[in-house]
Amino acid sequence: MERIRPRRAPYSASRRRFRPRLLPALLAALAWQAGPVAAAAAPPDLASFALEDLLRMEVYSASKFQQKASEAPSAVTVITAEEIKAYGHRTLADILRSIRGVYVSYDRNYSYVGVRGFGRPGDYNTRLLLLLDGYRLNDNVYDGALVGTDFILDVDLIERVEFVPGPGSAIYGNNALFGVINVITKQGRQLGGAEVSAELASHDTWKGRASYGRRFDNGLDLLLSVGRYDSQGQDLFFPEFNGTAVGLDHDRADNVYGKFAFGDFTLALAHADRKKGVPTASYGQDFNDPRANTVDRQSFFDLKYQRALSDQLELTGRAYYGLYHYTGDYIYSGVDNRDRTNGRWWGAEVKLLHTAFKGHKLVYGGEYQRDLQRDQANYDLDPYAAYLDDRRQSERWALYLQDEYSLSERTLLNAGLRFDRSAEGHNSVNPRLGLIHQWDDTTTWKILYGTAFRAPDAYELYYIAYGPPDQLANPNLRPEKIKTYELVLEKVIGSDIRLTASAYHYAIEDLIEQETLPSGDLQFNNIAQAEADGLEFEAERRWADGSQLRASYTWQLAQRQDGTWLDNSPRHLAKLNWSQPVLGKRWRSGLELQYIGSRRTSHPGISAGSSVVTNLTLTSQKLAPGLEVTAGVYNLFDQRYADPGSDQHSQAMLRQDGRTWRLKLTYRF
Amino acid sequence: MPHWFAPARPHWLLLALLALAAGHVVPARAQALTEYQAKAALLYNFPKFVEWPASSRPGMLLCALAPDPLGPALDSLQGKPLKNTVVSIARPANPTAAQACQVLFIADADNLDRVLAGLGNAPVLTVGDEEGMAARGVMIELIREGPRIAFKINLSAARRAGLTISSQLLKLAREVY
Repeated sequence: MERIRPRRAPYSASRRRFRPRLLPALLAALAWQAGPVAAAAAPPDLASFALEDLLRMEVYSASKFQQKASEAPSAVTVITAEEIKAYGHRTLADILRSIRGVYVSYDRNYSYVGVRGFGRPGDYNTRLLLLLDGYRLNDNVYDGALVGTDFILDVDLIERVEFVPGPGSAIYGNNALFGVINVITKQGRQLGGAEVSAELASHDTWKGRASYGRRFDNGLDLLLSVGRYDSQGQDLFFPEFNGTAVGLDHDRADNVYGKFAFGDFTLALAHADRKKGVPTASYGQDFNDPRANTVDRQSFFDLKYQRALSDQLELTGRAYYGLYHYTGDYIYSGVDNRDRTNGRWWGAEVKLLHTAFKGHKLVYGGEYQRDLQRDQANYDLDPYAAYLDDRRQSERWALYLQDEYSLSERTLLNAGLRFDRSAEGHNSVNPRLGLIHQWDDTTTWKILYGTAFRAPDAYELYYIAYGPPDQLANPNLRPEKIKTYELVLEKVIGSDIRLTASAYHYAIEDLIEQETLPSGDLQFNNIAQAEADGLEFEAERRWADGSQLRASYTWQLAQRQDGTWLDNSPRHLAKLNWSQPVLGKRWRSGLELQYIGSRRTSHPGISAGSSVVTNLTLTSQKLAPGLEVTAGVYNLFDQRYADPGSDQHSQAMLRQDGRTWRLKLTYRF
Repeated sequence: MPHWFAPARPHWLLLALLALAAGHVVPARAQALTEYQAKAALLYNFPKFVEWPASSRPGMLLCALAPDPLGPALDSLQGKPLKNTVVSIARPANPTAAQACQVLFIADADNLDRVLAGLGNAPVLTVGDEEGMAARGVMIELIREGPRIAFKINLSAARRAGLTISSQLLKLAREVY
């Protein structure tokens, strides 16, 4: 995805600019709320409601999956479509930002998700697994996961996002190192007709979408959608270049999605194409050249079959075909150097759910993927000169077994084991053990142990660039490995308050990093070890009138083996999400506060300071039949803040947007 | 340090906003129910419109299979009078044990075929809230219509189990199979 990287600056003690003033303020605000949260209202007498009244009554949907989540071997977070709407989330990155312990940084080209203290600058989310209805979205060249405007699906089509922090390799294999993000799409019947949506936003931004969804009498459930997003962006001043990148923040994304569910079969088709200008002069290219841009194109089809073979055996089969295409134009001394990548793969998976043995729920299966293309090329356009034309094919397969064993009425043992043969022939075996104990009707303890791995991607293995310094290939890279320990406590108070606390220790070894060889050349190698410890707390309450409050605090410390603090790893994160009916219940407000502590950058002595970003959204569905209006202000208080840059940037930090707004109209008919 | 790293704006604004919002949070009104409270209340109401065969067990056992989102809402119905008897609550461990229930709530569609096979033709009023459940053999499927709850009825499944559903309830159903 890139050209030669400038040499990484050596580590030195950072001068942290930690501003603790905001944290107490936020915590005080949270504590204030703890009052109503702790006191459960007297439950209504449910026997006193007549049937007709119940059918006439307006109720807000609660998350049913919260209940299932209490049996999951992780501290799962579920974000529903209703929350996505109420808080005005525009991209998957916005949704992820609202999740406990997660932070997302943006370099005005791609969005990078940080989890559990690991938010390595320049990592294209290769250490997270991103799934769409169970289909793996990470590509087969960079293993990257795109979550910004480059995400494959319009966020309006998301039914819910399940975030499972922790190692997922015992079930999902490669890349599920720090967590798994599973995006679940809506069903056609939930639209129940046609829907058009138009939005306008700051910096000459607009978006349009047309969707149609229906369940037909013959049982076919159909969902079709097309959308386009276009933003002119801003002219950005960079003090490092003492200049302004003019018209280079442009962003245009198209997406198409179709889903057909009939009987035991579901067929999903998706395509997305995003072009983004690069205003940061990344990878040492010329500053402010209008040609600098990247294009990411993803497509797939995914056919799923699910059928109960008997009372005790359920079969899920899946076959898929995927494409990833990337083009980057990087300008050096006026010459357009093009980086091009083509990924193409197909695969199949069989999974069986077996409940023949009393107290056991067995899941076992296998996966096979054939990589038809994992090609990387690099060349100058004019005068033409080719530097790299690397073509690869490979295959990978895996077998896994998982057992959910009820030790007693209240205790569940979740044990899983998966064997993976990666594209380069490395074998990985990853276990997971979870002991889930229901202490009483309201309290659940979880003791979790698991390992996970990430195989080196084609870029780290085979990419070559001519410098100086040169970047050398390294076909001898091994998979990175992580071992994790976690203790989770979940408590439910009344029917609507949920408390979660978690403590974890992560140890990662053979971390792949770029190093400078004695010759001065650059090469990726399994050179680093890192550890992270953390504590997370979350309180959530839902009211019958649809009000919702979710507040979380995370303390985390992620360090290298030599004790240095990792880059882009805040020690403190605090979040507040608060939604309620306002203005005579015609509108619903969504207030979102996100505190992020100071983070080291790759430049010695420079840290990105702490910040609080406040977003406020108002939504109404009651102004006219079929019409939904959403108005949002993002970064309401115009907080000045920046995310750390990575090795590819000469900037230590990249400034983020100040106050922006968005107006969105959706009409259903 | 770049100039835009000036300290953040005064935070009293933020606190004022929080205070304002805090003042607006009101406790649940008597008439408002959460989704699962409303669903539990519906479970309590349906038996009023259903006749069980004379041979079936006495009592009114309302059950929910795990995973059970009704939780305390269902528990709050324990001991309430219904059809000349009082309600008991149970959470059977498996479908066979659920044959003893008068009403069974099934929240999870994953293992539905297995659950229905386990129940056989036992006189149990099955109620579910996942899409397509009625078509798959659950007697009452709760559906969402925007902010309201509605339901569909699979009458032939009820008849197979020997249950009689009153025309009053059938009239309120969105669809009857």
